[in-house]
Amino acid sequence: MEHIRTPKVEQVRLMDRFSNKSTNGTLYLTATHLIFVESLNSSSTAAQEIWILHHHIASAEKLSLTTTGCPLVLHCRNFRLVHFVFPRERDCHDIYSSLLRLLRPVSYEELYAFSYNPKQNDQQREEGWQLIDLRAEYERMGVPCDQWQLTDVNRDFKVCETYPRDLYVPITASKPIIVGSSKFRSKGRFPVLTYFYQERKAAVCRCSQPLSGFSARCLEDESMLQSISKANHNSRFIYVMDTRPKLNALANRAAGKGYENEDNYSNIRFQFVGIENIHVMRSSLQKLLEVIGTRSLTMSDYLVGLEGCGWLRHIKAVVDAAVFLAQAVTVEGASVLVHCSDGWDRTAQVCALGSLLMDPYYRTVKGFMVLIEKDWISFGHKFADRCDQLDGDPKEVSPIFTQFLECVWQLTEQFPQAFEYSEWFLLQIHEHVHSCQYGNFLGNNERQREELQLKERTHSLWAFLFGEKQNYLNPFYNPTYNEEHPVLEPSTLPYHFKFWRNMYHQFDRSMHPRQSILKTILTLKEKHDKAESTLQALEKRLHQLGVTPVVSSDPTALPTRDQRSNPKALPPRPDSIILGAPVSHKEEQRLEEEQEEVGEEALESNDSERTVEGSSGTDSRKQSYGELEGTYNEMAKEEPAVVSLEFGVARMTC
Amino acid sequence: MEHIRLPKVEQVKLLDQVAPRKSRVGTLYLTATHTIFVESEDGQRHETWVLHSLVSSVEKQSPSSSPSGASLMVHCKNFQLLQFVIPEEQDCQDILLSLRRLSQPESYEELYCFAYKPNVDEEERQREWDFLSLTSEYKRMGLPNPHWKLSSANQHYEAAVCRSSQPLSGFSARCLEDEQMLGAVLRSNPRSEVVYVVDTRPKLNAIANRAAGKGYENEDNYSNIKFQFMGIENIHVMRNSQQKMLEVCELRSPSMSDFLEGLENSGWLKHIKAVLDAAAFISKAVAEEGVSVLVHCSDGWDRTSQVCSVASVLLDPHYRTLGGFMVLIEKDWISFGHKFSHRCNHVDGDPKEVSPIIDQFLECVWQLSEQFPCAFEFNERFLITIHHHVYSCQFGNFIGNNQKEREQLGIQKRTHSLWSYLWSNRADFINPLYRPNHSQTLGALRPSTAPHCFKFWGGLYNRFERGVHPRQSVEDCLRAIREETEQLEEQLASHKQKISKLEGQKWTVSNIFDKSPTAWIFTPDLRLANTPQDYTSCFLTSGTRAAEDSPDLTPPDLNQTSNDLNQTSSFNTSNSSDHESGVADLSAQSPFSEDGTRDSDEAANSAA
Repeated sequence: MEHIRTPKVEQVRLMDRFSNKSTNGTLYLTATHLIFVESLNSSSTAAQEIWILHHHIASAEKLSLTTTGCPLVLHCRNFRLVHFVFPRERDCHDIYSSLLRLLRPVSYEELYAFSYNPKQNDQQREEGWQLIDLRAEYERMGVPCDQWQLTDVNRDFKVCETYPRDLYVPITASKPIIVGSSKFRSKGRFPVLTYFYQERKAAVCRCSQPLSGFSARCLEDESMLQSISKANHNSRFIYVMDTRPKLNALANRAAGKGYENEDNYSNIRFQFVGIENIHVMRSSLQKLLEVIGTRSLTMSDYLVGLEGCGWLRHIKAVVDAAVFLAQAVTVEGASVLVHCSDGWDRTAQVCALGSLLMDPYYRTVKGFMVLIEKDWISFGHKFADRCDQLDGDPKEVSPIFTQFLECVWQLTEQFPQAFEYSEWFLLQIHEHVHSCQYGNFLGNNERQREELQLKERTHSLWAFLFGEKQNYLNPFYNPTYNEEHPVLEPSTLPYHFKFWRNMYHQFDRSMHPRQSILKTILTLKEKHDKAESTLQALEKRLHQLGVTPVVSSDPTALPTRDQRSNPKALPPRPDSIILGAPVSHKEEQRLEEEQEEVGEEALESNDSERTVEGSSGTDSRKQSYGELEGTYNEMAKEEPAVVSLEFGVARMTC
Repeated sequence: MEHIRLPKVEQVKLLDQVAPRKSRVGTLYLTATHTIFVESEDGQRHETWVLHSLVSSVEKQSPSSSPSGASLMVHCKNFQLLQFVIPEEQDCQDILLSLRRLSQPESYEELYCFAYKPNVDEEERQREWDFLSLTSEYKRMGLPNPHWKLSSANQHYEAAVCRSSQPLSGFSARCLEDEQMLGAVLRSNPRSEVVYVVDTRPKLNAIANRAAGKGYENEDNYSNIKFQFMGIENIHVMRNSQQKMLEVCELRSPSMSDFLEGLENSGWLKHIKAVLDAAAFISKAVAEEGVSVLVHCSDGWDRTSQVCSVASVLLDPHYRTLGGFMVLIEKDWISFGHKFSHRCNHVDGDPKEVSPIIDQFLECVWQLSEQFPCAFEFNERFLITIHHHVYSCQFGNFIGNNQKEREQLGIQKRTHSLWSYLWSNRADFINPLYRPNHSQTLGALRPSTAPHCFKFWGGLYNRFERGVHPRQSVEDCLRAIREETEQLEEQLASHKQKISKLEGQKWTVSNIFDKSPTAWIFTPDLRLANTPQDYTSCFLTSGTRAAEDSPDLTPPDLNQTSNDLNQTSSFNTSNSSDHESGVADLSAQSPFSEDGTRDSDEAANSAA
């Protein structure tokens, strides 16, 4: 509180980024949020509110004074850009200096997660943290098994402090081998199991680069790789994927690091993949944002800019690597060891995306949470550094996790039926990686999180997201599709990669086409479900009347019903996608109206609208979007599912 | 026949463009109309048919480039690319010469449409041509009316879109009659004091035309006009642009930079955007400002057709229906003399006359359908099919360069019409997301023309890409749900029928049901049913009665009822009624017949 100089400024104008429109209102500065409340005028009945979490503000910039006032521009980590104009320079300066302090927390204790209190009791909070259980996940994959075991070597973070306590290694890898190998790897990150493809007994392992320099060897490390190889009887070799460009790996040798020498390791196939480093990615995103932020962009500038920033090229590189990984494991049945430099950025991207291609479970809501928990959180992706949670080294900041989410989105565009979750799930996760509202992403590794006692003092995002799962379901999801295509084989031809408008223009309403396909799809589904349940009721009635219902001439006419009578048969389509869940009729009605309304004119919303960042993202986003473009034939865009909930910080804390 | 030097070659290899290892070996046949590649590996017979009229170029590559024989590249007008490897070079040469001759007919008489004989009798064929009639279309638009005799207009807006070619103004020439003509256009719209004259060309081109005694309207000579250049490039620029874009599509394994640079460099999307920008300008002028617009380019048959027809799609929901879209092409393209035979190179002619103007129009509509997925009754497949047949010469519609030529060729007497073919196969072309009553669908579309709203149309340009994962179509998924729902409905109806019979018997026995909310079940009109939840619970509460008698209902009986019911119950979210009615009916009804609807929509528009 002591940082707030002026809690309220009136007559502030909010400028639209891409047009000359503006809105007048009052700006409030609270301990956690910056709030803009539109002034009421005669024509509108309710005021629009925009809530911006301080943690979401990446930078504040005071522009030079103009005739209309003093402009302040805020760049947010969720790609919102707000441009205020203050009538008095003094106010602008006060807000600016307060913000500068507020958006640079120096200790974890200042983060929102420690003050966020969603009116839950301790038991609920604890249950939230128990939702994701990684041991159960390894069991699901089929480990421990006769070739892989849980090791307690890192029980006290002694061998590698950025790894989790629980690690899975080949049965033949003894403790001395593990310890020896860890000493030969950057940051002690020795090869461990991250995904096990049961069908071919092939493993995906991850580690950091070896400290090989120009000629160093390590026998333990060599036998570590040997035992990974031996754990898979289906293949006589393992792939070692160095996800860096060869040049980078070579340069690392001069610093005593580098890559595996095929002469020293028996039965490995070494492969460079060529994903660029965090600095290249950071500036690439920076350039992308500059291009798309340009007003009245021409087609040439757009395409040249898109090419020049290299962003889609980098996305394609990650997907290419994941495709290679998935093919090696599923087609060749070979185990793969993935690393980059420290094994927490590119390695996390490739392992996670590769697993997503191989295993339909990760394409479900719960599975995706598990995947992030495993490959990103537990294996020590440095969220605090990469997302700039505390005032730190700007060179450590990089959109690595954002890229991963985008890769997943690109896949959802190619395989609209394969994912249980929609785009909104990805956007919501992105929102909260930066919001610091939940404990999950705080800190850089498991050890640090334990020290911060996050499970005792903060709430879990997964429980929150799981609780409103309905909002994130993809109406096109078809579990049968996943049974028929357990392994996705995406095309990585360039034209399959698209600019992700809903991520990077998420808050620029004028940039969104306004027609939604959601309502149509929901109506369709609603009718279907109605018909189905009516039929059941009627059949029951018929049964009571003593008639065995005769299935009409077409035997395939009623797959869903048949499937119900035979629980072993696989569902041809999910039983209920959205409307199967108990949504009261009244609520639907209201939502339909709401949809219609935003559909008419996204810019004019009559509802009291709150755009609360970092809290009820779905709710606010749905309102602020208006109707979204849907590309039903090329790939589907999904909208947030139907139910608009009245939750969120704004309502809970105020 | 005499052009076929070699009717059959064996052991020919068809290379796969994406995955060269997946090439297939088979036999190549040349017939009078098609090139046919038949492969019969593993007992599975697979045939690839390529119509000669779709072949745009054939090239032979020197045998040294592929050791197993001489290679033949066949580029098609529908963007298919086939690469054959023929073991003997002489065979390859023969095929090359034959195909070249066959794919470049010297006269209209050689075109496929005159040989195409589907199994329909003469009367039926004639009916195909009567299917679309433009006079009924003008009637639909409310013409002639006191203000308009015969020209393109839109009754609701009172403002009109007119088209012409450039004036022969040179540097200073005037023509009083022409000035009066524009004055007449102006007066016909009592609500506006000006007329926009839209010259769709870049200003430089128009100025250059002045030297040839042509040019553009001088605002000083014409009273009350507002003149505007639009900057759409000419046919030569468009031809080169598409050529460059296709080269990008044909790259073997392009990098992201190759693709984006190539796409930018081709300028294709820039041109698409220019057409859409111009159309959006006109649509805005007519719908929001109520100003009439005169559109022209040089001859008024290329850019003018594009811009007028795209503007019509934006303005009038009727043109976003299957039937309406056919009418639009018939009106703005065929009847106003877009030179299809020259632009599409139907017969061997001047290569400089060839240009993908109609491709661009179809792509503009596709780009719009991506922005407004619920506004179009037809799907992408419809556009692609039209594109295919513009070039295939299988139907008579697009043959020749204008109405006069078509009459001379006796097109309507000797060939078949694409429109009736499309209409009878309309089930394939329906967009399951179409919502005719959506507020946006009812009014004028206001598209965004920001660059990121334009996408590369892989569905058209890369649709023959093989070896890529099987494309899954969400549309098909939706259609499946819809069909499944319909089947459920059918069964539902039969069950209800059965129950009502059974209950009817009980009716006499007990009176309990009379008061129960399920009483509706006895009414023949099942659409009065409440929500399923309602009566589900009713059944559950009242469902303790034991089963006693089971009168047999024979399946034919069931089918009978279900069919009847199916006809009465309209379960379709969108437009099934349209299917039954047909274009003639459709064109009779104005989309704005209800003032109330329109007003609310206008309010929505003005709120913008």
